[in-house]
Amino acid sequence: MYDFCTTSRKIYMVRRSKKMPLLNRFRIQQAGLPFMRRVAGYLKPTTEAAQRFGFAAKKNIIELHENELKRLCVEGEVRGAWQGADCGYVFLKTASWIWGCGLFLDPGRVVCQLPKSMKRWFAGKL
Amino acid sequence: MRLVTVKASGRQVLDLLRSEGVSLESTPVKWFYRVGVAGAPGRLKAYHLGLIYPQTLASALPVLALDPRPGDIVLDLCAAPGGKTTHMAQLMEERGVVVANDRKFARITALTANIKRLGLTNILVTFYRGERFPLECGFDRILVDAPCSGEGKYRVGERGEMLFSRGRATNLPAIQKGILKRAFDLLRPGGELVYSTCTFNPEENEGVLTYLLGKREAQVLGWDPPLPACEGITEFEGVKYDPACRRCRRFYPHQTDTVGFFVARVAKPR
Repeated sequence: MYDFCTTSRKIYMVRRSKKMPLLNRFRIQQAGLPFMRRVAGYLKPTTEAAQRFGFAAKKNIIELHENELKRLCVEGEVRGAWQGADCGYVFLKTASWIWGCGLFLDPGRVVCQLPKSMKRWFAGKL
Repeated sequence: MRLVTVKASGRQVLDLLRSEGVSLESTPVKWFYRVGVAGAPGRLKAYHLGLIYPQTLASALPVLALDPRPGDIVLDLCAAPGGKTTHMAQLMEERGVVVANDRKFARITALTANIKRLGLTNILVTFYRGERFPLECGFDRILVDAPCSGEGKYRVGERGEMLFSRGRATNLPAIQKGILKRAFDLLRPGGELVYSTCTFNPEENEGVLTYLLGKREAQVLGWDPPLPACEGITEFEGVKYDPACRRCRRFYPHQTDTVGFFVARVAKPR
């Protein structure tokens, strides 16, 4: 079981604990895992949440070959004929690992939403 | 390095590491492996997927001595960059709460980045001076991995290069005493804390513990660690320390082939 805490931009996911109320008086800098972020009125899953809970997703997953994922990181977007995804945020998967999110736009176009550190790392591997 | 089994099983993580050409040697500590890897661990897929935490074997020892259990409310008073904090959350199977505190904002950034990378959900991050942490609730267990002179790290790297730097102006034992005393006051009756440093200096180890024993009714507990260890010392260069310091454990690099450490378990009577 989890609880959710919100700030103006982020929603955090915290493992539920009976003892949590004891800690209410502390000034908390971060509680649990950043789960969603508000982006232009939409909710975007964070990379951390995608990696942690993406395995449970039943749809809106785009499977890429590792070289396609590298190209997505370097070029910012890739095109292809992916089935079973609605327009909006999707999970990016290679083999059995979810890496984070992409933005699925017109049919066949995915825009990279992975963090800069990961983009730099993938760019270095090319 | 430590395998983080929150997002995948240990077997899956090991298979991924082996597929990247990492050689792994098991250790007596669960989830810890000695690794042979070309370049930094940060170049591995497993790192970016939050499946590993590069960490010395010795840094597992304070956490093992504390033995946090699922459901506990645990405080890590000097938490950044988060190796021991996340190890505790992993041992607790993410049940209960770990409060991870540090006094330096730059270090808090590293701490939160590591918590996010590993995907842990039961850690709260706070930003207080350790010796002034608010006395608002009694913790079941507290880890004080105190700032220290770091002598235990002198033998780091294949050539054993020295990291010693002269001219330290900070009075580390005074800081350590303040933090340890506050940690003891934050324990609930019957709770336990672990005081650890990565230094050999008795002034920062047995000296600090002797100070606590003089100020509070603390009990030093014994411990049977998974790596070769020596007893704490009771006298050094004419200075005597409390006889209970024998129950502490000193870990030396030549015996453990890792960073040197000092670990003391302390209980608060019911």
